Amino acid sequence: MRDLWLSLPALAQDLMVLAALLVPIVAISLFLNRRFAVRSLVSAMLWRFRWANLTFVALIAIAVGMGAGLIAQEQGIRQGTASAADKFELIISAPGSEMTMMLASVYLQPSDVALLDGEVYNAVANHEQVEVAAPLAFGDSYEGAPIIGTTRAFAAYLGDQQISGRSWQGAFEAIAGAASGLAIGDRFQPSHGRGDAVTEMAHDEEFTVVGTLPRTGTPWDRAILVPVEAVWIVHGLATGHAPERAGQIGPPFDAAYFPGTPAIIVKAKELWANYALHSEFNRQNETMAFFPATVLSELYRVMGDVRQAMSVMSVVTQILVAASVLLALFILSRLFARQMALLRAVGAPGRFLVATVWGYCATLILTGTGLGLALGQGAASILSAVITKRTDILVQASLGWTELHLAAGFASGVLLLALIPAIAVLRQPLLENLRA
Amino acid sequence: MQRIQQSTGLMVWLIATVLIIGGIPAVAHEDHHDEAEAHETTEDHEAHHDREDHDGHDDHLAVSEHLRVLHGWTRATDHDHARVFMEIENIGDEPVRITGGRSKIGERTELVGFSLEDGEGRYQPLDAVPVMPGRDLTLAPRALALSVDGLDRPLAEGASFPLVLTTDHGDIEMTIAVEAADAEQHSHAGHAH
Repeated sequence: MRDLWLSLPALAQDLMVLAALLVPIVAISLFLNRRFAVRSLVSAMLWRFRWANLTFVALIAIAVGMGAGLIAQEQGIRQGTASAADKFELIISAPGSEMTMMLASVYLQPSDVALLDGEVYNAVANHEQVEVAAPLAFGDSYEGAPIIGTTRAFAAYLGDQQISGRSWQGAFEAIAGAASGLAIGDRFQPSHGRGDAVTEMAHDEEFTVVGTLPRTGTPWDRAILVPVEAVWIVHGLATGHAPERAGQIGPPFDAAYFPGTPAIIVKAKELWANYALHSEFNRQNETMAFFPATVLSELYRVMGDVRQAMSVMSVVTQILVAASVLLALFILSRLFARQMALLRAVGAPGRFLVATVWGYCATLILTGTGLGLALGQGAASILSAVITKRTDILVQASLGWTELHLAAGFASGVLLLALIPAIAVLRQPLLENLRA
Repeated sequence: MQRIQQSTGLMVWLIATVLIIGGIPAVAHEDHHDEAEAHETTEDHEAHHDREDHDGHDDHLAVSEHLRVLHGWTRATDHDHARVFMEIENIGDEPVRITGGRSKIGERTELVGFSLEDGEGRYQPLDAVPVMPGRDLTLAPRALALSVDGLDRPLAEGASFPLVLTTDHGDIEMTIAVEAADAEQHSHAGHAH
């Protein structure tokens, strides 16, 4: 049985779980409403207590929306940060913190890190299994956009070979990221430093934008890519090439004239080669090689615990809201006790009365749950847009099966309990209520 | 009035019980599409089990002419597959290609590599990975691993089973220790042996 379940496609599993969660609602509804038409009576009850009903629906919607929105948001952030690291299979840097190095090179967060020398760079770049080995040079910015020195091959790899315009030919030409605010033909002078550390004084050299990268949904969208040699020249360092080839742009680099790189972004020719390169360049006290996917995944594991805590909190909130709504409905049912007593007096069957009260509760709970899902989606979309704007990591949160299952489970459980106030109507003393 | 109070009390109790029971599976609903890491957070076992007393230290180490393999371990599981991790060191003079493995407890043992797709971890089969002389190759969670599929029994924490690591320079027999379901490393990781 377990094997059969596991052999089913994920979509079939999700649909079956959803159907199973909704079965109690359908079963109760079919049983209570058989040969009865309670709709007009339910509508009248809904209208009569419309303000209280609106409050109930809003309460349920907020409780469901909060839970669904939080889970969708967490998933959206996970997917967004993971796809931002898609192009970064293996990073080689000086020994230190993998997390700091990943934040610096994948998410372009400024940080002071040790440099790798030219010999290490050449060993990596000349490895037979390496397709792209990009040195990086950080430190400057232009109007908030970080300027990153690297190679033509890496710029092409980052833009999936889809650069508009052309790649750089000279040292002071640049390729601008889609969100950098620069267009082909624009000229700029880099400022020293990034973020809060930026200094007033701009460097003298002027760069011309000759190409733009397509939008990638990563922090690199805001970056301006320039030849790594240009960053070194601007900072008065060696050009990476021997004096007789001082005008050369791009690899091969001369180890003796290589000022150093905080990280080498490596694209291997084959998947297995990543592990071979990791094994080869993970040398104690010399170099550190790491997979951003592994570091991120460890981070998600910790986030998974946070998600569980958030889920518990949202379930508790839903329990509280459901309990208060049901209690309120129970008390509310006393308000229309007279009408119910009248119906009973004229011979309406008990099931009809239960169907009416339950139908009334079901309308409130299902509307609240539906609105809650919409609210969750709306809140998640707004939050995602804010996060994307602030970090340039494309976060797209949308409700998934987990959220639908949670909402269906919630509605199902509460509607099962809603039978209690519905049945309680039958237990109320007929004569007393008629006299009331 | 008393009846209403009784029914109200009963209802509160019922709501709390049903929703808590109903809520727990929803909370534990950890992406069932990705079994790869799902069991990590759902089971809580004792983290450390000292096999040294009854198995002896030698179980942690397997040595051939070319390779030194240390701390083979996996996680306790009742799924039909397990991922085996270890530290491999090339002590010879030539590159050695790690091609996969064999184990009596599973139908198939292969080398797999980790990747993230849409934020979810996936393991893909790999042909072989070379280890250069003097270098280490680490098989670890969310990176490189040996995947043993079609397990004929659940793996309980504290147990161990034999596994053969296959390379282009011959096979190496070793013992795999079963650690806790949420373990992140061998309980003796860091010991020099």
